[in-house]
Amino acid sequence: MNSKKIVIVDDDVAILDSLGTMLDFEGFEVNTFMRGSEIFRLIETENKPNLILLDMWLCGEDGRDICKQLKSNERTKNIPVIIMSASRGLENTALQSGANAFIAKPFEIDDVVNKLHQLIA
Amino acid sequence: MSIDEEYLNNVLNLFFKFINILFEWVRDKFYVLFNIIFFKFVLMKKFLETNISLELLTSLFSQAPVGLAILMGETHIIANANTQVLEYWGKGDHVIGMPVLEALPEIADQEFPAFLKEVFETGKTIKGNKVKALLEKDGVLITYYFDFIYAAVRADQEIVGVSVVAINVTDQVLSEQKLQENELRFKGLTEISDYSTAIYRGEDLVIEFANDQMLKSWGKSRSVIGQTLEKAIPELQGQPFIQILQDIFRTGEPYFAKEDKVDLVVDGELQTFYYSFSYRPIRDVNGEIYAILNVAVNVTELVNERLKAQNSVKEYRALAEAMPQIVWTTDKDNQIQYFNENMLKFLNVAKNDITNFDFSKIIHPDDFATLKRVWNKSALDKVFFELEFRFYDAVNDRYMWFLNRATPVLDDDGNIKQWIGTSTNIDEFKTLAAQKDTFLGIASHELKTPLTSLKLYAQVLERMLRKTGDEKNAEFAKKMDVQIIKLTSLIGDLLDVTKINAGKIYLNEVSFDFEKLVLETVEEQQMSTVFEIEIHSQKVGMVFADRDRVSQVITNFISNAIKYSPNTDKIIVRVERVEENVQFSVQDFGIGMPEDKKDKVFEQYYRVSGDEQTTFPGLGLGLFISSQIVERSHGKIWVNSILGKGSTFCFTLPAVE
Repeated sequence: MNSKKIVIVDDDVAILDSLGTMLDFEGFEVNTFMRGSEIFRLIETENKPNLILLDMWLCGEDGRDICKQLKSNERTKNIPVIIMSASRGLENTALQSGANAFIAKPFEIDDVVNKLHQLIA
Repeated sequence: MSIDEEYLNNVLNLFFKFINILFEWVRDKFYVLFNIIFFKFVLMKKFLETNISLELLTSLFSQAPVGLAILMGETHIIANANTQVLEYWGKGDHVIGMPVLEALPEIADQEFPAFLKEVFETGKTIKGNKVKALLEKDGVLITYYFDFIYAAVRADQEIVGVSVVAINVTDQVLSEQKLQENELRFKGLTEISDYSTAIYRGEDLVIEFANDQMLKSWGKSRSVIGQTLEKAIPELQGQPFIQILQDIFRTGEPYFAKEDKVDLVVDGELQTFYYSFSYRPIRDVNGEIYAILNVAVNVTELVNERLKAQNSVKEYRALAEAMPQIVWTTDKDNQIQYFNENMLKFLNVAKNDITNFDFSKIIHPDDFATLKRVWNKSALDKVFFELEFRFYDAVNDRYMWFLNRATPVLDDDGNIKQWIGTSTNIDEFKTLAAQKDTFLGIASHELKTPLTSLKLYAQVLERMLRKTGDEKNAEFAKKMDVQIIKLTSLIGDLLDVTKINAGKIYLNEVSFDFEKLVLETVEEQQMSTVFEIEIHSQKVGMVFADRDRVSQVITNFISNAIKYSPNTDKIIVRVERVEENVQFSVQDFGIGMPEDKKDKVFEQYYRVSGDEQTTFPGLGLGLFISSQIVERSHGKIWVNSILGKGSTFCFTLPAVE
């Protein structure tokens, strides 16, 4: 089967490592980045990912702004975006920025995997 | 010299002799009258000496306003009697030439014949003062009083008769008697009066009368009566009273004093008393002040009580000034009456500027409406209130947080007459509390990041181990994950509290089936406890609230019930419909709590304390968060509990149709 390409953007290396490992384990093809700007470079050089998991509070960047940019770009607007945050109360603003879903940290991996399958299918 | 001339000279001499005697006697009492008579007679004498006639003298004699008579010989033959004396006697001029006892037989057994006899025989002058005489007039004996002078009439050194000068003083005597009677009656009354009463006679202020009350006030016995005030009460020297009393004789003005201080030696000790009293002049029939009436009421106790109250006011003022807090009072209409020094300094205002002080100028506009509402409500219920609001700090030009308390002072009718308030500067505390909340917010957010990866690693580990068939180690990894869930929940609580305190708790309200949520949550909880969770539930309808938050409250109730029920193994969960609300309750059979702790359990950081309870784990935030969630969801939360028997925690939410 064709494995689905997932991009994870988070400024925490441990999250990238653990979540990357887990999704890899679950059969996804995972790319991880620490900066939001790196997504745009990837999109230009390689094939588009099937889904982007985006942390809200990146170092010096706001995940919601990145999401807005993705959603306003013709090439990327159809890529599902899930915004992750430890601040549960920010779900609304995350969805307002165009995100397809919101996941509160810490999360149950099963919840994440279910959401991924829902959005990619 | 003819007989007539001799007689005339004789009479004339007598007359002027009378006048001289009369002079002394009349001087005090009838000064004006005397002057007129004297003046008249001096003129007459001058006139007579130069050009005198019997006719003129007879006319003068008969017109004199005093009774004049000359009684000649041993039998006192009435040789002459003027109109006035005849009128006194009640007789016509036919009595002239008659012996006096024949003319006035009614005086035979009175003292006058003896007087006449004495004068005639010894030549002595007898003066009578207010002597009673019974004289017959139209067949009736009438009582008169006379002042009189009997003097010898001599001819060639031989006593030939008695001259009589008499003045009718009956009216004066009767008035005096009446006055005396009144005085006696008055003294009788005052003797039994509750007021201290005394009469001081003359400018020497002789104590003529003092009732028992007055003697008691002075701390003196009856022996002071008859003494001068100054001698009787020597401690009055140096006090103003004696001077005031003496002045009244001069001015005639009564004197009134209210709660005047007087020092008196009572029981051998100089003590201070307070009296309300009056000094009133007492006048005789002639309008002359002859005494002063003193009526006094001892108000010492009253004054002392008031002084004590004033002193305690002073003490409280001093206390208010010494306090580091701001202290203020307002009247019933919230008008400022008093600010302590701290307040004046804080507001940078002078003490005199506080009347009509406008509170709204110094209270943060965002807080003013709340203050008004709370204060009005408190005034309505006549109860104490406590409220945090911001005062404008004039010195630092910024608003500062204060914890303000005010309590109404009620009058005897139960109406508010005053408010006493204190304001404690909690600005630093507030800043620190806000910093703490910010810190906790950041800390818990930051903690969640490693927790997220930790949880992921645990899950990765568990899955990998299961894949290799190492079920035993996979279970350990799962247990790690359970502990991470607990840690997450604790951090979540901390974060929730900071959100609640900052007013930023977010409720994602949706409509959901209340019973279904309870059953789901209970099922989850049942999986992690050995307790039997007995469920009594029914379909109660939908509610509109944050489903996860409500689940959090249910979880909190259940985990608390289990936590505080050592040595038991069952709790009962109930879901009911109560009127317009759905009601959830958890009953346990654990340690319970005393009545006074029931409301405290919903306070922030409150933990059931005591020797035994200290062993129960937790941050003490769960019920606080639950109460905030329920209240913000328009529900009610409470607990019924009996110490040692167990508790029932309940909450309701409005049902939606």
